[in-house]
Amino acid sequence: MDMNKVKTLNRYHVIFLIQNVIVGTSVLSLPNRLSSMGYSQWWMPLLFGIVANLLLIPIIWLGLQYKNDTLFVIHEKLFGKWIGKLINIMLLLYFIVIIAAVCSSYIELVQVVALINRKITIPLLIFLCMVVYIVSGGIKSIARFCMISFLLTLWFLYFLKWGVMDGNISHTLPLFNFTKEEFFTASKKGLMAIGGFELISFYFPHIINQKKAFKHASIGLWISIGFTFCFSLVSVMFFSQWQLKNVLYPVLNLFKEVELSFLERIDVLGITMWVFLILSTVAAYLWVAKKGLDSIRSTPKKIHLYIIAAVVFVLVEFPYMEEFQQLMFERVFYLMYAMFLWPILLCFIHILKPKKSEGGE
Amino acid sequence: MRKVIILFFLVSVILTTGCSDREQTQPSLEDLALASSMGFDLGDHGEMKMTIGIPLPPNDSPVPTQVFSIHTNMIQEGLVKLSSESDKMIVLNQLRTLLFSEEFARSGKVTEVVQHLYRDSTLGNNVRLVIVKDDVEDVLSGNYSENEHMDAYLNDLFQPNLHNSFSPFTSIHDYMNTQTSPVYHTMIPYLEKKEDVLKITKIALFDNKKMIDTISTEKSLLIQALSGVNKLSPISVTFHGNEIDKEAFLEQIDSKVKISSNKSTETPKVAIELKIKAVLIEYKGDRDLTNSKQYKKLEKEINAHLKEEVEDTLQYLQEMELDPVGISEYFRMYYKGKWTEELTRKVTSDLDYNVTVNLKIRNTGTLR
Repeated sequence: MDMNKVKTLNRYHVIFLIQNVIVGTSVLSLPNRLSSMGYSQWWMPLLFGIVANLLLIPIIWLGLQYKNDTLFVIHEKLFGKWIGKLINIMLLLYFIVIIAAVCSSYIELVQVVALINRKITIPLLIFLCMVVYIVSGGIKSIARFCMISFLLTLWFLYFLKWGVMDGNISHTLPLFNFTKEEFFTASKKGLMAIGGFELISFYFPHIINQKKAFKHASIGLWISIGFTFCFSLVSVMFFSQWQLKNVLYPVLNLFKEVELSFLERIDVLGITMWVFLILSTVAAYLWVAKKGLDSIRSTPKKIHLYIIAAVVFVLVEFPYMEEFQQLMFERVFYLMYAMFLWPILLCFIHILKPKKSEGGE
Repeated sequence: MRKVIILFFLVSVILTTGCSDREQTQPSLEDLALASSMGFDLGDHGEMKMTIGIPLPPNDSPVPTQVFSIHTNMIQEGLVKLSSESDKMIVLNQLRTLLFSEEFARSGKVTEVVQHLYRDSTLGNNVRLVIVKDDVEDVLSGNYSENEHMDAYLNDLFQPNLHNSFSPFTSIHDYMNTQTSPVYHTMIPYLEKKEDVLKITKIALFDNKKMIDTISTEKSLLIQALSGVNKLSPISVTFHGNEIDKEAFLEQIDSKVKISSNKSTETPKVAIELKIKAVLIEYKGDRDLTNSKQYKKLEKEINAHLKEEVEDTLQYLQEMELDPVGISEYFRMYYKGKWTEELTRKVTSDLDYNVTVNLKIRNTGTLR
């Protein structure tokens, strides 16, 4: 493959990288996370979409100022070598914990639904091996994997038909039936569902047509928002408010309603097929983490990838301090909000910094 | 060096088999007893009596269904105890019917049981709930000479088809949904055992957690129609206070309902419009149906009859302060703030309704 070329991502790659990295485990539990708003939550994904689209602007703008640099390099350029490296180390830790959190939440779900009474060590190992395999092909192979997983999982939307049939569209009314506090709780818990688009600042240098990257990224973003929106709308139609609050994975119960004459228990199939979406998310994060380690140690090495995968494995399988682990996995997503706002700060610093010869121009 | 590493790796892989734990393996399918029906009675001291029906493979045993029963306070505990009784491990993956005795349902314990099962992700969605008139154990251990396989019989009885669309076919999700929603009240089919035949004779109505009353299947059919079921089971109409017409039988009924409220919880009013298209299959009376005027008149008569029935049903529900139709939903839609059960009660009891039934007879078959 074209491993040595830097610019490898065409527009479809960009669209699907954005789209598939966003749809991860959070969609499975999003209606539950937004449940403080009750039935009025169904349009929240659209609001998140607008927020994400706005946040995309500074990211792309910054990328266009440093056309050949990832965010890690930008940090070193803006803050100097040592502070930059310190920030990068923190970023790396953050990414590793994110990967571990996504892996553990998905693997736990699989254990509850499909592999009851079994240990999760082997599935986790296989899962990580696959991720490492995908990532070792470079960002383009991740993008291609995103495309195929999009096509393989698109038909999940058809399974929502049963939920729509049993549901009640009148649940969507009244439109704005919530208090301020409810709205803030819901956005705080739910906004992480759109996390993933910010990774574009790391693979931006690889995009061929950087001028149009914003447009392509927006298309990808709105495809995944549409996906998320469908799931939360149908959940609102199908469940009572108590169920939205108490059912941890509403999508799982939606899949349970599916009645096909030739196949039963779609929920198990659906959840195991969901692995494609998780794989693409984790692969992208792992690729970024590997780049981070490369830049911290100043040499790109393949072993970095294996080191990070091993650290993730240890983190997920960590036998003690389960409470701390739970807390860390839950809280790390709030750091994501800092990640969303970080590029804006960088933009300001970039403007204020005295101009020298910058970027790869 | 490389060869040594590979050799070391291979040897260690072989040696790790010694670490495998035999106890950990998943029981094979032959060791599982797949329960297909589960029933609950109330014990003498207020505890649960759990009965489980397990279909056995044909030619394997003299009886088609194994039935076990135990007194217990917790479901899972009961399952474990029963497993030690039946040589196999009982699992609920194939559960199809969940039965409760009337006594049990009236004591308000159903929600507890169903919520436990709702949590269990191994259960599918096609578990139907049933209320049984007397003892559940009687039903499950009964001998049905016509339908030898009790489990299949029970299962078939609760599969939705056109001729029993009066039944709400409550699944676990439906039950939890209507129980936890402040708008709806739960309905569950009510089963009676007569000699060696099982029959859905009535529909049980729940207020909050307790079963409080039963209604006839005719009333339940109208409730289903009002809550938006499109295809209805046949209706037989018996005219009263009418000299000419005696009876009529309608089939292949398509119904469409339109409910609009005045959006006010203070003086709630709804207009209910029921549009029905049907085939008149049988008619007893003195009308000459070849005459189109007479035909229209008959249509009107049936219309008036159905309207009266719908109003009767609504009045009954109003007296009981129950809302299985979900009419209050048409008020909740426009209500700012948190909708509560009290509001549903208030709306239902103060409700002023205006019913119009619009029947159209499509044809009368191929004979004149």
